[in-house]
Amino acid sequence: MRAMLVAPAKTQLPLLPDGVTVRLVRDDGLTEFDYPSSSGVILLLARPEFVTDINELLQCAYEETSTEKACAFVPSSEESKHVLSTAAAAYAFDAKAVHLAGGLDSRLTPDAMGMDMLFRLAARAVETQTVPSTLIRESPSFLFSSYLTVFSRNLTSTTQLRFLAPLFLGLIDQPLRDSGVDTAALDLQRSPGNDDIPKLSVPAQAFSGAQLVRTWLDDLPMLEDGKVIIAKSRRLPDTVLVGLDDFVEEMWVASSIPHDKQVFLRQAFADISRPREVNTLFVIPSDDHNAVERLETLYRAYGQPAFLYDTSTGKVSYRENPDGEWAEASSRLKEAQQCAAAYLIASHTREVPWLQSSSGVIILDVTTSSLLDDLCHDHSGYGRGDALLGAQATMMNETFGHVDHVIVRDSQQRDFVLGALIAIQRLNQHTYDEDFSLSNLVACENGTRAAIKALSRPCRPFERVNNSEEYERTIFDSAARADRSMTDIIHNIGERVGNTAKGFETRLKGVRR
Amino acid sequence: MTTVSVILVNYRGAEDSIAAARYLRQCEWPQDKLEIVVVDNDSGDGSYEKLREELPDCVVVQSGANRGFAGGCNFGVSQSSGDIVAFLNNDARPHPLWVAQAVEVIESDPSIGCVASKVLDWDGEKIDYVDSSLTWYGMGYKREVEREDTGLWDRPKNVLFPTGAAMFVPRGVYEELGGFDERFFMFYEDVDFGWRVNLAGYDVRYVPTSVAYHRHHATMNKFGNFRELYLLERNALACMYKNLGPELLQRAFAPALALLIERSAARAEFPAHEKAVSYNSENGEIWKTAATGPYAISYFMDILPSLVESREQIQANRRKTDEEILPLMRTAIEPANDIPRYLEAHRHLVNFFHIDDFFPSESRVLVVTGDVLGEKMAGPAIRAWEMAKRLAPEHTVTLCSTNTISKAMEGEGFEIHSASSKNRLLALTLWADVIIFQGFLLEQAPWLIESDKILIADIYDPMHLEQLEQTRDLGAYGREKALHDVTCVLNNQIARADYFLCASEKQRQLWLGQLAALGRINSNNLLSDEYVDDMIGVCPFGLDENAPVQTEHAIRGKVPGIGMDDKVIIWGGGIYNWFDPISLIHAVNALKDKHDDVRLYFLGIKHPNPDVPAMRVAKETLDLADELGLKDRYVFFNHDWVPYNERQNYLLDANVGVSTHFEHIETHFSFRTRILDYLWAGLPIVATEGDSFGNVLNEEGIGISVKPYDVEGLTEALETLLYDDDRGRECRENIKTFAKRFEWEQTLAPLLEFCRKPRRAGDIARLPAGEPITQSELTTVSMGIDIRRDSQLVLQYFKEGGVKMVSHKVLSRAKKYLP
Repeated sequence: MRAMLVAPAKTQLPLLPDGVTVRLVRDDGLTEFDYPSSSGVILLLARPEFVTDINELLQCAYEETSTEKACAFVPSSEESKHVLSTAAAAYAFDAKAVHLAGGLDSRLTPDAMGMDMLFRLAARAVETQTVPSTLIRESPSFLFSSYLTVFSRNLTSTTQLRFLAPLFLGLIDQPLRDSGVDTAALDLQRSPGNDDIPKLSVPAQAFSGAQLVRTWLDDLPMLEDGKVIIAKSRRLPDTVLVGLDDFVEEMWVASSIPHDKQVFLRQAFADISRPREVNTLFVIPSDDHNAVERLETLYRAYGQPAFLYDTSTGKVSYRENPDGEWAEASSRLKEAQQCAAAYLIASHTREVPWLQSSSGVIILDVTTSSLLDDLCHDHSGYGRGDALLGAQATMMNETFGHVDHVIVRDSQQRDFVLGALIAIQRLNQHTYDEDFSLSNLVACENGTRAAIKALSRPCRPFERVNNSEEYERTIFDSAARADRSMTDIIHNIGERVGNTAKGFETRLKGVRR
Repeated sequence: MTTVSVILVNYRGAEDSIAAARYLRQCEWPQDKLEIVVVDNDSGDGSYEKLREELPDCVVVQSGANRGFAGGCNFGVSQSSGDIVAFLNNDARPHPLWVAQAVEVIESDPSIGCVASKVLDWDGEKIDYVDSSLTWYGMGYKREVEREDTGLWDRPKNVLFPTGAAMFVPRGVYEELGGFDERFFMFYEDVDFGWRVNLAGYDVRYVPTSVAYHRHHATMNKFGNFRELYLLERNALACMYKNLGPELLQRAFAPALALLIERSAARAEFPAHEKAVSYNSENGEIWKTAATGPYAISYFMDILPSLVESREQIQANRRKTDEEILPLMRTAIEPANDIPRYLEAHRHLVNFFHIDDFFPSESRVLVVTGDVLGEKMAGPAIRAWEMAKRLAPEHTVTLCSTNTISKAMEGEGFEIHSASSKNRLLALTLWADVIIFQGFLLEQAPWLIESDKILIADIYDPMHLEQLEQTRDLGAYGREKALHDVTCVLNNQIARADYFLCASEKQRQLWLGQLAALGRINSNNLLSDEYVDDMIGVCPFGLDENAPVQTEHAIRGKVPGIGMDDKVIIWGGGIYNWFDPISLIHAVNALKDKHDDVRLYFLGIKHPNPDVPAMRVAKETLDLADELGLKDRYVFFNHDWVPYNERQNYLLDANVGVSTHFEHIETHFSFRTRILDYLWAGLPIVATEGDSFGNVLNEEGIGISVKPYDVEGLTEALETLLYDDDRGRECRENIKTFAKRFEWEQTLAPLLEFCRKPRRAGDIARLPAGEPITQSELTTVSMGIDIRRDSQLVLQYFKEGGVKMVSHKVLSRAKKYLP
């Protein structure tokens, strides 16, 4: 068994089988978590005290992750279900998936580390679920701050802001009320007098909510670092993350804000908490009759609210449903730019300038395009290399370099597109490992099925996101190293020497046994 | 006639209220149409009785409780009857025209829902209110407060909110909006009210002629500082919640709560307590200041049920979008506090939640000229100065010169800095958000090319065309190199800048061609409502809105040989190779035979910028005048340069302004700034046709244009304008109208508009980091060595900064030649 066991500092571990690397999470966040092996399992014990048998759980972890799933172990009384992330006593991850995703972040507490990894893997389209197990005594309650950390790192700011206002209000206000302080004490109207006394007497916990928010604010630079790294490695946009509402619900429970107050707060901010209603932006040149027809057919099958960007006029329009019509919506340009998926029909990416820096998924539909015909009318340039490329070839390469999926009309066109993608180095081992026929990358259309499939769960292929290279240090490990002082590094080397000796001792014990 | 009710709210300040009411009675407004309502907010100190006794001509009422400013005002309005209700703090004093000026504006425009008066301090020297701003976290503040009232803020404009210290509202609007929000008690009721006036579709108009004088915060000075902070914080939250649309409320509210917590704690901790321990109240105590944030949030929670209703109503009935409101917030990205820990928190929140993508931030504008800034300024420096001056009322502006600056220079609402060293230039460019520049800045500050600064290239001077003539004396190699270098300099500007300024429509077409060749004309650069012409703003050289006033004669009776009654022709600038003063000398030579009183005066031969070389034609002109025996008899030369602020004394001593040039390509695209001076001074003009002005003199009736080299035509034109009184008078009349369109405020309008919503150009803004932007060859323009010019430079630097400056300059130059 090749495994890495991650547990809080001072965890009393049993004798472990051979091949298990142990990493204890130090309080100062200096543990290195890069797993030297590219295969195997990582078992993260957030709350080892709730695990009845660690060795057996290791075995379960190995089995559960054999299909590259990630899981959170829950008591056997609960049902198995898909989760975005959740509090659990233990988590199991496929080591390769963790490595590709950037590794564990040692700056987090074990609670947050487990939830964070599960969240990140889910956003990389790894199947994430709870696994009921008799080896788990009970589900732990994590601190709200752990949820807030995971939430702040893994979601775009727009999604976070859908939820944060009522949460912060309740968090700050509730301890004040629970402690019974007179919050009108500073009010000239309600509580005049005592202006010469600079301090108030208050119970110890009265400002715990304010302190929590302040601590979160102190952590913001670290959270921002993590957010940037994670954003570059995720494959699914926020809007298609399954289980986000459940995760937020769990977060509310962890906040200890009474239920009726939660309901009121959420109601008071209902108009800023709604999920984005439009996830798709279609792009066509309105002066291309075939493209317009394709859009109409496709939209009738799609049927959901969508934006349309017309490259011929630069105008944005909006359509609610197939019974409606495209209506001018230029004032909603910013919203259109943030759609989870952009579906381009017979268009080049440069015709939609913001796509260059977009984190949304780009799908290119060339079913109505005559790619070869366009190129046959191209004129080569006066030079070698890129300078030789004609205008059409330049635009085609640029477009193929930026899109996540291509929808083609037949196998002939698919072959052509594959050839073009190969030429610009789009062949990728991880994409291939997930999609052996590359039929997700370049899909042959059958009516509207391929398009609808791509739109229903827009997902970026591996080569369009950041992945840690095999045998290279992961980005989070590098980030944690960058935070360390020389003294820490010396200390850490000493500890590693000690751990190596311990590992040697463990192996010796295994041999003896 | 309109009746006005002025509401004064009194709380233990009877003396102030009595004084304010008496000042109101001195207003130039029919007293029978002016109702003064004094509301005593349950002072309990005998105020009510005193007010009744002292103010028999006022309506003095008791509110029954301390209802705060908001409640007191609402109660006062309910006891009043005027068509317009006005509010004046009881510690304020109105100008006699305070009422009349505000009422006139309200009556002139039904879209005005509120008039915001200009408020100064008690002495009328410093500003209390001339504009409003709102931060993204809900803090309303008065822009320019405490600054000297220099007259820069005397233009009416729409604002987000008035100050409750002095404002007017038509009664109908006041009632439609339900008056002030009494949940505020005091502070921000005016912010909230003004914001609601705007949302309801009306304008809040700042009227600078309606003035009041205020002793700030006379009421709150009686209480602890934490009282005010608490009220400000809680009311800011309520204000945001009620009035922001969903998108902005979502973006701002949660970060605002976090920032409020940090602000309160940091205030209590700084500077006495270094540790951030305010909310670890384990010892059972907390500073009241630190509690203001959490307690403000708690109050917000208390009133949230009623705020939900208010929000629903306001948002359902709003007639203006947040997009329309945002510009009125002026500078929303403003921490408004300088505690280091708090500043860090503000920066992190803005970055983390991309708040600056949604709210406006004040543009810090840097105007850079390569010319000398001093009393004696030439065109480029004058233009940069006027830009800085016109931008200053709306932005924080710094004017800098990469050349020298006279020590005595003081900006008009902007700062002046020297950027003579690389480090200084780096610091200034790092500070700025928007950089407006002329000349060679990208060569001096190459880091700007890859930066994300918004660059505005002022290419009003087609330098490459100018070089064709200017470098004639440099020899074939020197000429080719100079031409190539300057073309590269301009190409770099065109490849990198986000917006461009030129001087005429004709120039615009030339620059569009150059932009096209460098790939800058593309759809990414144009917003949906823009045309290709919008990429380049036409901003001709301008003239001062204030007519020139002669303080002394500078030519007549001053220059030996020119009498008080002589007819003076003025050549209003330097003598460069593309000008034709030779034909003019010949024309004067011919004219003197008929009119012995004709005099020609050359305003300046020595350019204030030592980098500008003396040119061949200047010497030829001097020689010719000498040779024809005209020098110092009919033709006169100022061998120096005239200070910018004294040029009117010269211009107003002249009868006619003249500008003659050769027929070449530079002329076609040039914009003669000296002609502007002639227009400013009302001088009829004689000029060669072919440039922007030469072609319109005849059709506009402001002068006579002549063909190049046409000495006879020139002589005739000068004679007509000098000696035909009717024709001269007619020209002067036409100039009055024609000149209006060249006032700086008009000519710089495209620049002012762009700076209100500055943006990166769409094509280069999205380039990934590391991608080169400039497509043209970057060339460092070599200064070369020119003994004559360099010795002039040494002299100039010595005069400006002594030995220190000379040695500094020598070292800088030496560095340029070192590898």
